[in-house]
Amino acid sequence: MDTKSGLHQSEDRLELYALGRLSGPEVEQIEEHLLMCHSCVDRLEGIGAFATAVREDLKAHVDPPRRGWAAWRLPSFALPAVFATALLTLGVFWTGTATRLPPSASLQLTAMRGDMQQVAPARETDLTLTDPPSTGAPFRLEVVDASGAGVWSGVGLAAKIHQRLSPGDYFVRLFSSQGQLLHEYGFHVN
Amino acid sequence: MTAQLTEPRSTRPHGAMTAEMDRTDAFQIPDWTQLVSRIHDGDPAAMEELYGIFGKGIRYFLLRNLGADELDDKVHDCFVIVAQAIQNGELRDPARLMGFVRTVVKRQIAATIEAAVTRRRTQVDYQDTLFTLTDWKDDPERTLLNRQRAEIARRVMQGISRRDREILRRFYVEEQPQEKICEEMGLSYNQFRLLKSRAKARFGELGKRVASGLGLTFKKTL
Repeated sequence: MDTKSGLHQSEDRLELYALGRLSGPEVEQIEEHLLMCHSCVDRLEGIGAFATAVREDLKAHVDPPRRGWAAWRLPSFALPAVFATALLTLGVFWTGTATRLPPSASLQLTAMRGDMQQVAPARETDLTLTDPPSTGAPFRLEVVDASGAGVWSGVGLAAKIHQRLSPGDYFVRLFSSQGQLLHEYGFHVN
Repeated sequence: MTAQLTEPRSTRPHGAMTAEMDRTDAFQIPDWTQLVSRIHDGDPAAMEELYGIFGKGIRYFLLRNLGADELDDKVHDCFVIVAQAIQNGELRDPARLMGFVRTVVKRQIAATIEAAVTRRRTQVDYQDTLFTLTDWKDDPERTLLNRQRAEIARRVMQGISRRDREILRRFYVEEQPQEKICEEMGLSYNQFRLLKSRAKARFGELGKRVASGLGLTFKKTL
């Protein structure tokens, strides 16, 4: 078969692709290349594994703030004042910024087929199941995100999730006391 | 791992690093017009060539987006669609075969995801559809691999300086462009790439040791 020459993708472009940072036309171009270039697919697998693992690690492990020399030269009475100022600033920031989100959102999940229920993002989310099965109590609830990762679990027919849920789909699984999965409900955080 | 960064003498990296970082050597692109014409004429060898060219790429995209479940069937479905379109004369511009294959794969991925979402939308009674539970089960091999990679990444990050971690954080987590990072952190472009390259090399080195069963133990997380 006749052939002509082309160029492999650079490391930088493969990495940006793996991180999802290329524009639409760039994605199209690189994916067409990857479809026929086994070598670049192999390289992308390694690059993607590194980029993803490092990103997750850096997200999970934040370096503590550096203790500079200035902290040691402050007079002792200044520390409480600094602390009080920081608290005040934090309070102003909290009331000015964080309260843009409502403190809590409530959602009643019903066993009916249809569109997934929508809920606005909030600092806490309350979930209540309105139509539990007649048998199987005490029930256990488990809330997972769209990738199946656990978000919350507990006993009963209600969940109070003390964290802000990222936008996306979530699933609530209802288990019987014997661990049998009885129902799964879905909801979407906007 | 040391955190020392040295400025290469030339403006471009050299030696093995150039080969690794800028792989722009040529590779051979098939003559799509000829291949499409042969498939259209029913040449079985042409179909094999098509599979040889696109098989790995299609498998990669399907695996990345949909997981390993029924992967061979999904790859086969894509080839059937592409081959039938060619044989029916629906591919008007053979030179755009790559784009057409990409579109077919994208549609297959979208259709599979849509079917899965519809299946589990709102409430699903698992007494009737117990088999769908397998969709949510973790793949033990993948879970182990991810855990190993996470531990390796942890070791790599622990082995570099705080400043280097800050540079990597800006790039990988905060998604800052490298130009901005270099400007604000006082780095040259080559220093930035060298830092990433060293971290990648260390990641790969530890990964190989794990793969060959040498000298790494991992904390039990379950």
